[in-house]
Amino acid sequence: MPAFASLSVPSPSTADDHRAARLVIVFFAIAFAAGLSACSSRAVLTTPNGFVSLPEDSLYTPVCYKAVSADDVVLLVRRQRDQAKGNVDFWSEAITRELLERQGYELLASRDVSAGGLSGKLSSFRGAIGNRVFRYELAVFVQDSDVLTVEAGSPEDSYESNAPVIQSAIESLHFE
Amino acid sequence: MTRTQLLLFVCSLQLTACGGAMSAMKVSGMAESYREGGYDSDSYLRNESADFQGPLEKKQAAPATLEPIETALAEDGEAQPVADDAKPTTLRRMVIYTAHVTMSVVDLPKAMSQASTAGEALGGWIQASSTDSLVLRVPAERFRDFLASVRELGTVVDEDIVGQDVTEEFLDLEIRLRNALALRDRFEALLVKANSVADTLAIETELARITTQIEQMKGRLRYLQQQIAFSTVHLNFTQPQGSKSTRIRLPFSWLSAMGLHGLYQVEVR
Repeated sequence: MPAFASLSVPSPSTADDHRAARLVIVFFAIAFAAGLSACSSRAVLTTPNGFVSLPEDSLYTPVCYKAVSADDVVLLVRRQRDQAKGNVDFWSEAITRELLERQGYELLASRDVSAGGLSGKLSSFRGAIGNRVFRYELAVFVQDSDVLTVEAGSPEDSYESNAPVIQSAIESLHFE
Repeated sequence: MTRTQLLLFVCSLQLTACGGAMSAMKVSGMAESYREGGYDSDSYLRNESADFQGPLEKKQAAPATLEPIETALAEDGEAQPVADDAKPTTLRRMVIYTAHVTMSVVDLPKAMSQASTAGEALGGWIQASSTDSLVLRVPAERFRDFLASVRELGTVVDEDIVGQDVTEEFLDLEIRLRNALALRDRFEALLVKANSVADTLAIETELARITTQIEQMKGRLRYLQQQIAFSTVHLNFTQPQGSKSTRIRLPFSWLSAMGLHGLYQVEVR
């Protein structure tokens, strides 16, 4: 019974095909699960007047929310998997050091902040893109196994007028 | 009066002038003039008449002692000008302060503008400027205040403060100037009494020489006074450069995506 035998004792090439197929299925399952995890609780802001939020399906992972104004103010929420299980202080310090030591930002202020039922840390930076100077506000939260960052960028020259809107937007973090 | 007699008389005048200059009473009188709110060498320079009485003759005071170089370094290690009213019983040191400060700032034009404004608000002025540097002169008594305000503009990369003590040179110049003025007055008196062409020429030659010396000493005194009154601050500005850190990168690649570039360049499908 060569056919049966061939089934019970598959040739080496057939076994490799099956193993490869299983790996592909496992890969997609993990990717799907990760995608579900990232999007199952979508972190968003209340879009301020004068801003438009971009459609969810137009955003790349890990961006959950993005809104822009006509005068170059950008609001952004990102969710990163936190397999290291760091707390708010760790992630806030890690990002701050990245910005100060590697990207040449200037730290202006830092304070505790609460939003969406989470406690986090809000830091204010000054940085530049080319010759243009910007303010960069960054709030860091930790939720379960994720790091949530709420970012806001504004040109320095219009920051004072936009500051109240940016602060309100950051504190409006909630989950859909 | 023969020429020999004239030369002997001139030599005796020189010796008399030099010998009298270093008396303790005169030094103590000069010290007293400093204690009364700083020495005004302009008034000194303005008064050149034969009966001129500068601070040396005007004051009779207890002998002064030169205090140790107090410029010094304050407790926090920063050099600072000596306050006018500090230690009234001792001679005030005369120090020229110069600072070189290199700052790292994100907004370079704004930082330069703020530094200029701060210097001018303290009574200073801009001596020189370029696209990324400034040289400011600020009143010596506000030197420390100005440096403090500059440090708030960004991150101090390098700071170097030098205090050059010119007390000895200043006092020496003043004494030499006083003696030269007195000598010139005596030559002028002699010139009136001269009764021969030869004597007149000899005296006028001496007068020309001493007048040149007087002008040189006056110029140097004015320069020193200006340098003492206004400290010089050289400011160099740089913009922070990323990726120069030798810090070990944390094993979370997404950290490098944080910041304005990530914020403004996150692609949308």
